[in-house]
Amino acid sequence: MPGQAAPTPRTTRKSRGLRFLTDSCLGDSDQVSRRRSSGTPTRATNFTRALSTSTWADPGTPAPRARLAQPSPLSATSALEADSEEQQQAATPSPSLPSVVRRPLYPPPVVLPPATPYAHGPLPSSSSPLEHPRVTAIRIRRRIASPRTPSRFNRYITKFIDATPSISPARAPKSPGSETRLFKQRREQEGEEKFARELWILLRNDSYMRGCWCGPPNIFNSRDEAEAAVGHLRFYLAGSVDKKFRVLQKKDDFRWHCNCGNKEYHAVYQNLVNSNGKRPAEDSEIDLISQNQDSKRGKSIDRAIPAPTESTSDEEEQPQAPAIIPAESSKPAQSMWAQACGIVSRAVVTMGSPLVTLLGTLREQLRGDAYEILDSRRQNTGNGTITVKRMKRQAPLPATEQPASEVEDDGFDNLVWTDDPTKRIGFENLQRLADIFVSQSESVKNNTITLGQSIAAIRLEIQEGQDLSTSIAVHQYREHMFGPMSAEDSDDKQAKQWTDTMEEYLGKLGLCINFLQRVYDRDRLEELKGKYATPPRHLPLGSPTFRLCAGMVGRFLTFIRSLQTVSNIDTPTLEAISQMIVDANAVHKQELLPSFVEQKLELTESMPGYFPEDKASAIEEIPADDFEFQRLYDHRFPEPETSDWPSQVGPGYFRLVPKRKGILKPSKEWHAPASPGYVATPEKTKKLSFINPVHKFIPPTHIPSKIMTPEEAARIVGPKFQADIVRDEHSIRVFEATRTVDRDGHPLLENEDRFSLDALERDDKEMGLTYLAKKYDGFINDVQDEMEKRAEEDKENRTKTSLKLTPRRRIVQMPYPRFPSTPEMRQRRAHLCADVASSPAASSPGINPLMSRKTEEQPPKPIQKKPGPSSLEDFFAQDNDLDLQLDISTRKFEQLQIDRQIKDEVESAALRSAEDKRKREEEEALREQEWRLEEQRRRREEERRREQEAQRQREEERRREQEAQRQRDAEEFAALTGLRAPTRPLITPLSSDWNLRVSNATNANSQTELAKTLEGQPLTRRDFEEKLLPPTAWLNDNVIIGSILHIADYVNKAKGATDQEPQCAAFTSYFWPRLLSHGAGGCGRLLRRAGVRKANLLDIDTILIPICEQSHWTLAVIRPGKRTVTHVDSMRGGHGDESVKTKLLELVRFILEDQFVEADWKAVDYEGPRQTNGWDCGVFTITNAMCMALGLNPRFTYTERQLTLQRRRLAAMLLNEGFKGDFSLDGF
Amino acid sequence: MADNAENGSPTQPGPEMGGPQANEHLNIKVTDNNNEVFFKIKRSTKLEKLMTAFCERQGKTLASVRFLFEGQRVQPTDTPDTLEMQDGDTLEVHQEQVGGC
Repeated sequence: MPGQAAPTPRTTRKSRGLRFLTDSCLGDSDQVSRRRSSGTPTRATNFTRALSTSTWADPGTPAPRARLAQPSPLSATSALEADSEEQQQAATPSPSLPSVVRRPLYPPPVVLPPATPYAHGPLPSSSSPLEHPRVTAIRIRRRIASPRTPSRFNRYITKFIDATPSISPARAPKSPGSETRLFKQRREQEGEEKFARELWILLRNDSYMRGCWCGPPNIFNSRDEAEAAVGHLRFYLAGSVDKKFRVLQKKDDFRWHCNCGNKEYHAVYQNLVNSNGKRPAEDSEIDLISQNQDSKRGKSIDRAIPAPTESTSDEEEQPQAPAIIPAESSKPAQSMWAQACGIVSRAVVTMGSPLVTLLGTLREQLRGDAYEILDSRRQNTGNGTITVKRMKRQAPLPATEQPASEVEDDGFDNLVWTDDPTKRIGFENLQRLADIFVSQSESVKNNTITLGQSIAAIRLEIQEGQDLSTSIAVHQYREHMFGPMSAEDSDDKQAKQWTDTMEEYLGKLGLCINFLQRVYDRDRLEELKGKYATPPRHLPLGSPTFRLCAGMVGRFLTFIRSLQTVSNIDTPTLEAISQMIVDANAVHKQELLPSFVEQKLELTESMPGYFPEDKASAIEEIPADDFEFQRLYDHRFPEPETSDWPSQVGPGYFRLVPKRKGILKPSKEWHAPASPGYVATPEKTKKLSFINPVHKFIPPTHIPSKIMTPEEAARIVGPKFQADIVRDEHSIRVFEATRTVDRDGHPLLENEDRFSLDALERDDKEMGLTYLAKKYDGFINDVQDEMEKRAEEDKENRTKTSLKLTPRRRIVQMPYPRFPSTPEMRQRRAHLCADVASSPAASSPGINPLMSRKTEEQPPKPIQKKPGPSSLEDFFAQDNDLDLQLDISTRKFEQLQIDRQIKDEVESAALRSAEDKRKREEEEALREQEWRLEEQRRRREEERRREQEAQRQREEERRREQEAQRQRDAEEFAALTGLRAPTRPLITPLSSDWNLRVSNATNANSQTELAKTLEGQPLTRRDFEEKLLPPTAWLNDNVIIGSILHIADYVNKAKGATDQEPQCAAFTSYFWPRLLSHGAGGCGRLLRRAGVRKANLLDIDTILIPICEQSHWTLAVIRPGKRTVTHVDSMRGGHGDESVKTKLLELVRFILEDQFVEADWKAVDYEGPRQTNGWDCGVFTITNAMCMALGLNPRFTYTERQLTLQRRRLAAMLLNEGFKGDFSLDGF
Repeated sequence: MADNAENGSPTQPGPEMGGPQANEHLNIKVTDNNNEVFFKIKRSTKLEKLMTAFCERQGKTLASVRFLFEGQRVQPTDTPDTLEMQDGDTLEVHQEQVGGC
C-alpha cells in the first residue's frame, strides 16, 4: 500500500512557495521544534558566580537555556534539509528517482481509510499534524491561478466563446484507448465508482474554494452524452437502471473540465491561507520587513518605522550619523519615501539636539539648581524608546483559579512556560543589575560615599575612591524619604536622617538582590512547571512576606529608575530595571510574571514576510514611563472614578429653587353635562369569537401553498441530483438547505461566510478538502501536465501538417464525396482541361459566365507548365502527378458545383413563375367572387333603407295625428277647465337691479327683517339664502305661504275683490294638517280668515291650499266656479292623489252643507311639467298655484328647467312684497 | 279643543270683549306633542316673549319652529288680544315645514 500511494515526485514545478509552506506545516512537529531549538550553544554565566548562589544552574549544563531570538538562516535551512532528507529516506524510498529529488514534494504517505474516507472527515489530528486544512486545500487551485501557461488561458477563452462541442468525431475516438495509462491505472487501483466520486468531489472542492462561477463539473446522464461533450475529464452515469458514477478521460481533448480559467482566489480566503497566526505581508509592508529583518523578533511594527530616535545618546549610533545615507541606500528594499523620511527626520533631530540641550540647561539654571545635563536621552524617554511587557491586567480578585470557560479569550491560552526566566530581561542585563546592586551596597557598607547638600555639591566635593553614582543615589533617596534638605535642621537631625537613609537604602538593595536570586531561578520555574501544566492566571509566588518585599522592591526600583534624571544610566540597564519593576509588580499582586511565560511560538513566525496576526495577547507592551507601580491594596480596591463636579458641591452650592408655576396648571375640573340624557357608555364585555374554529381555515398539507417557478425548481434539482449521485456530506447539506428558503426563494445556507475558520473546518470535514487534496493532488496535476504536454505536441504537429496538406484538407472538408469515376465524368473532365489548357480566356460561354470568370481567376502558372494532354490516355497517364490531379480536381469540383447551382436556379425559377401564375389566377377568381358578394350586399342594404324610410314616414304621420288629437283634447280641456296657454312667458330673467337686490339679501344681517309676508311673518336672510335661492334648496313654509298669499292677493286686487269676498282664496300650509287632525269643523277660524263661507264659496274662482306631507310640497286646488277639485303633484306630472281630492270634496260638502250638489262636482287632473329632481317641488307648487290662479295651463306655461330662475324671481317678488310693479301678472 | 274652537268663534265676541280688562292675566298652554308648558301672560304682551321663552327652554331656535293657534300661524308681534285668545287656550308648536321631493 505505501508503495502504491506514494506520489511521484515531480521536478517540473517551479513555484514551490505554497508547497514549501505546506510541507513545513505538515511536517513532523519534532522537526519544527528541532528547527526552532537549533540556536547557538548555551552560554555560561558568571552572573551566578558573582552572586554566589547555589540556586543557579550549573554553567556547564548543555541544556539550551538561552538561545538566539531568531535562528540564523543558514542553520534553519540546513536543519530543514536535513530533516527532509531524513523524512524522505524513512518514508518514500522511491527507487525510480532517488538522485533527482532533493526534498520531498509531498507529505509522507498516510495509510488511507478503506471506504468513503471523506465522509469521516480528515484524519485525526493526533496521527497527522493537519491543523490547517485550508493550506492543503489550496494546493490544486494554485495551478489555475498562476499565470504560468498563457496558452491555457487562450484555450479557456475560446472555450468560453464556443461552448458547443466542436470536436469532430474523427478526432475523438470512442475507444477506451483515449485514456492515458496513468489515469487507467489509478482508476483500476481505486475502483471505478469510488475513483469517479472522489475525483468529482475533488474538482468540486476546487471550484467551491475558488468561489468560481462555473460550479462543479457536469455529470452527464449517459456515456454517449459524455462522449459528445467537451473537457478533459467527463463524469457520467453508467447503466440504465442502477446508475453508476463513472469518469472518463479524453486524452485528446485539451480543455480542462472547468469552464473558467483566469480566476483569482477569493481575497478573504487568501488572507486565511497562511493564517498560522500570520497573514501574508502586503506589498507596502515588504520594505518594513526588510528593514526590520535584523531587529529583534517580536517587536511591534512601530519600531520598524524609521522614527527620529536614532540620534540618541547610544554611543554606537553617534559616529554613524554622517554615513547614514549611503548605508541606508545600500539596502535594496528600502523605498524612496522611507529614505526621504529618514533623512528629513534625522536632519531635524541633529539640528535640534544642541538647541534642546541648551534649553534644558537654561531650564535647570532658572530653577536655581545647577543640574548638569548628563543624559540627553531624556528627550526621548517620552518617545516610547523603552517599552516593557506586562501581563494584561486581570480582574482584581483573590487568587482563585477561575474556570477557563467563564473567562473570555484573553490570550492566556496562548501562553507557555518559558525555558529560561532570564530570557526576557537578558542575562547580561540582570548580571549588570546585580553588579550594580552589590557594588552600591558595598559602597554604602564601606562608607565610600560623599554626603552633600545638593548633587552639585556632591560633584564638587567628590574625592578619589568615592562612589559618585551611589552618593547621588543616596542623596536622592534621602530627599525621597525626608524631603528636601533644609538649612534650619540641626546637625543631629541631619545625621540621623543620613543614617536612616543609608540603612534603608542598604536594606532595599538587599531585598533587590534577594529578589533577583529567588525569582530568576530556573529551578523555581521548573517547580512551577511541575505544579501547573499551563501558566495560570494568578500565581502566588513565595510566602506573603516575600510578596510584600517584592512590592518594596518594585517601589525601590521605581526610585532607581527615576535617578535617570540626575545620573547616567545606560539604556539596557534602564530597560532591565523597567522589566524588573513589572516582574516585581506581578509578584506583589500574585499575578503571572511576564518573564516566566512566552507566547506560543508559531511555526512560520520566523519566516520573513509575516506579521503576527491581531490576536488577543495576554502580554501587552507599554512605554516604560507609563507603567506605574501600584500597591496591592490600591489594585484590589481601586478608587471609584471621581469626577470634579460632585466634589465641588458643598452646602453652599445648594440654593432654593422656586416652585415652578404658570406653565403647567392643574387641569380645570369639568363638570359632567347636566343633560338628563347623558349616560356613560357601558363597557363592552363581549369578546370576538370565531363562529367556525380556526383550524378549518388552515389549508390541508397535501395542497402546496405556493407553486414553484422553474428557477426555484432548478435550484432544488441540481443539489438533489448531486446529493443522490455523490452522496457526500456537503452535497447532502446543500440539498437539505434547499428545503428552507429565504424571502427571495434562495436556499438558506446557514453560514454565508464560508471563509471563516469555522466554516473552513466544517467544509474540510464535510467535503474532505484535505484528505482528497492530499490523495489526488499529485495525480490531478500529473493528468493536467500530461494534457498540457500533449496539447503542445499536438500544436506542433498541427502546424507541420497544415503546411504540407492544405489543399488536400480543403477537399476533404467538402461535404460532397470524392470524384465519381464514371466514364462520362472522366470525359468531361478531360474536355474541360483541354479547354483550359488551349485558351484559358476563351472558355466556352455556353456553360455559364460564372464559370468562365472562375477560370480566369485561376493562376495560369501550373497550366502553362503542363500543356494539355493530346489524348485521353495521356490525360489519365498524368493522373499520377499529384499536383495536377489536385489542381484539376479542384477546378472540376468547382465547375460541377456551379453547374449544379445553375441548374437548380433555373428549375426553381420555372417553378416560381408557374407558382406565380397560378396564384394570380386564384387571386383574380377570388376578387371576382368578392365583388359579386359585395354587389348583393349593397342591393340588400338599399332595400332595407327604403323600407326604413317608408316606416319612418308612416310613424311621422301617426305622430302628427296624435299631436293634433292632443291639441284638440287640450283645447277641449281648456274649454272645460278654463285653463289656457299664456300669452307671454311667465318666467323671464330678472333685471340687473333686482338681481342686485336679491344678492344683497343673501349678504344681509341674519337678524334683519328683509320682508314681511301678508300673514305678518318676517322673512330673514335664512329664508332666502338657505331655503330658496340655492338651486337644490328645499323651500320652507315661509316662502311657500308668503308666495301663495301674494298670488291670491294679486288676483283679488286685480279683480277688485276684497279679502272677505275674494276671487282667489289661499290657505296656509298649516290648514291641511289641521283639517286632517281636527276635521273641517276645527278649521272654522282659518276658513273665516281666508274669507271662505257657505254664502260666497261658489263665487270664488280659485282656492289654493299648499300641502306639505312627508317633505313634499303639493298643491290642492278647489275651483268652485268650475265645480272641480284637483290636486297638483309635480312628482306625478300634475296628477294628484285621490284621497286628497276626496278630502277636498268633503271640505266643500262641509262648507256648502245643503247647497252641495254632488253631481256638479268632480275631481279632475291637470297635466303639468313633471319634477325629475329631488328639490324643486316647492317651486313647482308655487308656479302651479300661479297658473291656477291666473287660469293658465301649467303645461304650456313653464318647464322644469326654468325653475332655478323662478327661485330668483320668487325671491325678488318676496322682497318686493307682492306681485306688483315689476312682478305684475297682468296680461298673461 | 272643540271648546276652544267654539270660544274662538267670531259669533260671540261681544260678551268676551269686556273680559280682557277684567282678568288681566291668562294661562296659555304651549305644547309640542311631547311637552306641555304653561305660561301666564298679560293679554297685551307680545307672544314673542312666550315663544322665545319656550324655545330657550326646549333648546330650539325660533326660526325652526312654528307656533299655531287653531291652525293659524302666530307671529311674534301678535298678542293674545289680536288672536282673541282665551284663558286656557293652547298654542301648538310645529316644526318648520320643509319639502323638496
